[in-house]
Amino acid sequence: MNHTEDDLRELLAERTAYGPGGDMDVAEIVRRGRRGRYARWSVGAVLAGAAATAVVWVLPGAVTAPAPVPAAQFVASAGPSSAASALPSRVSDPPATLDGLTRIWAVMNSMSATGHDLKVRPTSHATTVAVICANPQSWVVTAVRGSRAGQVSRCQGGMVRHTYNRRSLPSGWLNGSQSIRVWVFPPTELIGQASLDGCAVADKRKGTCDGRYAAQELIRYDVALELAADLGARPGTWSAAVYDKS
Amino acid sequence: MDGFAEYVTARSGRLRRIAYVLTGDWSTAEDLVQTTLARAWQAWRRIKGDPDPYVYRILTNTHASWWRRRWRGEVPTESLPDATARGDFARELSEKDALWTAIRGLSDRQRAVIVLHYFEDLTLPQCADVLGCSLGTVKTQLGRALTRLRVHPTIQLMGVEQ
Repeated sequence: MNHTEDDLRELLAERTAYGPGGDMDVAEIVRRGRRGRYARWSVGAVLAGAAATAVVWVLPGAVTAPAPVPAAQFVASAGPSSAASALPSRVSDPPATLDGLTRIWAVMNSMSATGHDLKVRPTSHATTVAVICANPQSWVVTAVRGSRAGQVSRCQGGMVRHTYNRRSLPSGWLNGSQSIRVWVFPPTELIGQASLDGCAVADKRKGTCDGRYAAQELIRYDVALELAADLGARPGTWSAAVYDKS
Repeated sequence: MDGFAEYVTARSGRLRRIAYVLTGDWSTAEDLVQTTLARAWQAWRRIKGDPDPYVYRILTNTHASWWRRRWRGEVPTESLPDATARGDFARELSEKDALWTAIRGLSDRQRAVIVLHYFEDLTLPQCADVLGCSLGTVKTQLGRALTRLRVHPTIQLMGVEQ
């Protein structure tokens, strides 16, 4: 037996005509929504604060002698919130060496929700980026330009190290200058779960899951830039350094 | 929140019916709609314009994720069985039952395309937008669903895989 599209429409209308009626309890729906939101958003306090001029210090390129990083002179043009002001206004200098690797580049920034390109000339595939954050709840994103290499993590313990799978790095990694973009974002409700898997509404183009940024998607420049624009630069000192074999 | 309560009042009945076609069970449909609306509430301030496409998307995605978790190993029939010949009225009922059963045997994505296109009267591009996939995928899913339901579309589906 074959059917027409009208048969199908008629059947769908018939079979759904006599369902349970009654209004839905909006208050209960909102309560469920709140419970879900709190469960998903329990990522810590959100830093507040007006944008201020970011001050960036860049170390010389190849460091032959362990030179100290200049101390951050934190200057905010507007008063930070109590949560932000409770954070240290400077962080320790990145160490000159890290597990046998030598620091080849470093930068310090007094603002979070900002990114910085680290231009380096790698000497090996063991290239490591270390980021030190004033707020250990911060999100740290590093991404190698022109490749799939990138990592996203919390700044647990105030310092995080990112290394990359050799196969993810660009071909010709050792043949010239490479760019590693580092972003540090404050803890924020705008960043949701890690990936787009299991989302009710996943927007692959925007890298969002149920309206929030999926952490793993932040290695994409356009997604990180969008989040930075949403947040605006906020007080939150961090430093980053690139290490490689000498 | 602005307009949310009004939206629930105005649209929950229709959403229940869509959910019923997706789930085949009124109580599950009720739960699905409540979950959908709770998730929509979380994002309500960010929804610009007509909330329907966004809510439909949550509904179909939530149903798909529930189905993956709750799948009980039922194997849908490959095709619609021919109805046995009986009296006209009884045969019509039997044919409708068979068609309904066949709808239940579609994959969740195919059923979502059917309900959005034939129940909600969304165009195929609108279905693609709601389901977060390409127009070609929607056409393919629709073509396969109609084949299994033995429904002959009045409009030729361009580029449908057979």
